Amino acid sequence: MDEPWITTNHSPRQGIIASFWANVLASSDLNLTSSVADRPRFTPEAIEASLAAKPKWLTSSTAKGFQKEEFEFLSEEELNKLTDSVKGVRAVASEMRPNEPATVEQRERALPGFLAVLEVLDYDRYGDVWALILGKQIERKLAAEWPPFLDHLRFRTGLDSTDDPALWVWAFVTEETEEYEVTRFLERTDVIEDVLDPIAREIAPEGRLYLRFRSTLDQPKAEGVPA
Amino acid sequence: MSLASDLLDQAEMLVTREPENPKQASLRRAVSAAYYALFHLLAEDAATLFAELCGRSDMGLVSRITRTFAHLDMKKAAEKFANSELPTAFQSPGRRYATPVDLKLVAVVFGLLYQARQEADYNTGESVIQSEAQKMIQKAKEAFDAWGRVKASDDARMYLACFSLWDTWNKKR
Repeated sequence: MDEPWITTNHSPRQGIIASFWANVLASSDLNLTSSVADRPRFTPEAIEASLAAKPKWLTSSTAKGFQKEEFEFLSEEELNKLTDSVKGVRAVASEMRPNEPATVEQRERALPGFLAVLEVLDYDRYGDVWALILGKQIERKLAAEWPPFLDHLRFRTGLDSTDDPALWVWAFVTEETEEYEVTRFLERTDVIEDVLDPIAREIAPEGRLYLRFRSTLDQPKAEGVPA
Repeated sequence: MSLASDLLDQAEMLVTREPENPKQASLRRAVSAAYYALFHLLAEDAATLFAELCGRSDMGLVSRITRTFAHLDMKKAAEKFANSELPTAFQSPGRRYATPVDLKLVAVVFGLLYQARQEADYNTGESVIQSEAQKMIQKAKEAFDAWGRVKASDDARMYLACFSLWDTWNKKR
């Protein structure tokens, strides 16, 4: 894993998380060609439809590499959900005959668990492994004081224009109507920023923070998971 | 109107130029103009400061000095002041410097807009959205207001001087 982040909590074994992340992604066949800020939401229905069209999604590598202790940045609820789901998928994968694809029955049994894994890893909101690690912690900390009108957050990490490690956070601001109104949008961003900015800096003090705000009206519509 | 104010107006004009389906070109130039508005606001005041130190205030000299400021040096100074850091020559043992609130806001926004402008101009792999660009312009306006309140202070003058002198002042004594 060549992301630039070095965090004391996770640096020794971040490769394990990355390996699991990559294995799940390879099986899911999600289309991640666009930047995380521009991605449509991947609905469970759309993912299911996509997997149905790809009978070989379940392999012995699906959900391989998971180690519970490396995911303790998740909430207890999410960690348990991920652990149980991975266990279920692995149990089915272990029944597969060598060099043979999974049967329809095996795929059907593994599907709910695999969808739950994808729901936790949320590839349409976390652009990379460090984004997952930092983003989940930011969201956990934010949960107690989740600002009104904050619909959801998206994250990515990388190097900024001066080659410094950076975290980008997109806050999507709720709009109740179909009509965008700039003053209302900006007022809401101010409220969100006051809460989100210090929390993000506390969780990710090592790098630059770039907070961005978008209206939910600008969010790409969920359009499934094109192959 | 100054160039800086005109650029800020231009950013606002561009961001709403196509209300229904804003063009990426307009939104990207809006973000870029917002950055350059703040850049010129600060660069001109820094150049005026240096010209006055030479006992001169003619615009010819000011504009020539303005040309000497590098974006990257200004970004570095912004980051340092955003983090309440002074060059070593001005650090007092046992005393932690705290950048005044308004100056800190200016410094933070300069860093944000610097990066946003780089992305708007060069990163076509990520869209610039109208609402996102409007937030950038709002930040630029806040920085303009904050600068108006703090620019006469010694801290602000030190910040301006650091555009050129940070490395010199930061050498180990």
